[in-house]
Amino acid sequence: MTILAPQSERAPAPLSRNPFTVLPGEILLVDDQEETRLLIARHLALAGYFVRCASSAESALQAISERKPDLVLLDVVMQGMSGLELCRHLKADSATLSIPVVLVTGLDRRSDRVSGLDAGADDFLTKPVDREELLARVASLMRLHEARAALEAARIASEVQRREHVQRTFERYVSPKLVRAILAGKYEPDELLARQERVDAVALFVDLRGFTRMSERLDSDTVVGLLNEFFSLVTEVVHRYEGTVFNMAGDSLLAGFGVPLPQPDAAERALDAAAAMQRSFGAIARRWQGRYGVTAGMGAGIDCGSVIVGNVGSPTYMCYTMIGDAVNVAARLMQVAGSGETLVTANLLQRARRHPSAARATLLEDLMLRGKSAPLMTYRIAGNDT
Amino acid sequence: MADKVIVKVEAEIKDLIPNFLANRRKDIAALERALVTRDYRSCQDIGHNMKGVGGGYGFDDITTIGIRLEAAAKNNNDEEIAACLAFVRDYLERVEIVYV
Repeated sequence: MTILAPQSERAPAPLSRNPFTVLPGEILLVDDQEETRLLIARHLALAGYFVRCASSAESALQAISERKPDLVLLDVVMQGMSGLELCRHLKADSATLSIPVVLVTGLDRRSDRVSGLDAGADDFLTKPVDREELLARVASLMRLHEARAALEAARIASEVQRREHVQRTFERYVSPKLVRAILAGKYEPDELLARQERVDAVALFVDLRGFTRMSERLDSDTVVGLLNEFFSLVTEVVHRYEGTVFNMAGDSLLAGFGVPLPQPDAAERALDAAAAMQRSFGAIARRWQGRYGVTAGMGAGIDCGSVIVGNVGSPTYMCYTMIGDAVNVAARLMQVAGSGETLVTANLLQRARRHPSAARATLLEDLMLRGKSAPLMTYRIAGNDT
Repeated sequence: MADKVIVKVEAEIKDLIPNFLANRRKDIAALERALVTRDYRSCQDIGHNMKGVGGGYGFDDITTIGIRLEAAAKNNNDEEIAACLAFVRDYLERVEIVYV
């Protein structure tokens, strides 16, 4: 095996017992006495280790910064920085604290060993070094180091897998900001999806007006393309205001605010989102008109109240959704809303009474919505009012 | 003629032995100078180094004398230091190495 070291510290090439031995690891040998370095490096090289030598603690630090060894054999008494100081330095640095350090010393008092342990040393060898003891201690620490490295690699791989799973699971529903918060450990992802609970939330339903006519007149590829453009727009807006997309069906989309995490300004966020969608879709609709000759618009309905959120479905198909009266009412309002209109309940507007759109909302005649037993006080927010 | 002192050394480190012996001759010269000037610190360092290196090369007697020398220097014991010096000088003249 070849010992590689700075020219001034190079030892003669050893006699190898087995030229095909796979190198079991790299050792940095630090000792200011050349004849000690030569002897120990020879034993290690013949055992199959790749050995680098340093004649001082300072040059050892330089060597470690260039490439981390698997183990450090460290003389204690040296000119300049002592071995104990170097050991403390290595163990205080997160980049090097896991490297096993063996103090090789002629100091054999109990107090010397205690000092070494206090400095963070992993093991000791007393000079003169016995070859068998040297190789046995080095092999033992190398095995331990390998086991720790394998555990750390497995932990990192598991963490990467978890993060990818969380990202894949959540980025379909919630805003990028919430995904980042989950990945940062602020929220427990499994708990977020697993819990089924009744919460107070805001439901925003939007749909594409003119879709039926479009699908009759245009080819399927074009229709799908237009639908995707619509959903891309509304989804981006929902995420921009940190809402959650719960469902897309046909030409409509259900979004929630205040779920899965509370938002004190959920009502305002929903109003802003609806207004942003109306504004942006207005431009898209004009382009569609010019290019395809179709008339399109967007209707929206917003309500607030107690809802149930959680995974709903069958064992073979399940999705994270929101159900409740506020969702039903938002859907009905959306159906009633004209193209470019957003209808909201009095409850919703009361929650967002300081929002600019509240001052410009128009009270409609009480609406009798399908499925409701009593008329509902409803307001219209036209176009891109905010 | 004084008896030879047979030292068995592993064949794998045969090429390192000339350097080891040269260092011991340097130790003798340094010890002579340190004894004359009563530089006990240097005597102690030489003893400490001999203690740490001797047995590893197969020269257990060098380790033994190193221990004696280091202790003598700590006690500022000129007579003992001189005895250790004489021992090492004599030892190097009588040592015969057998590679195993």
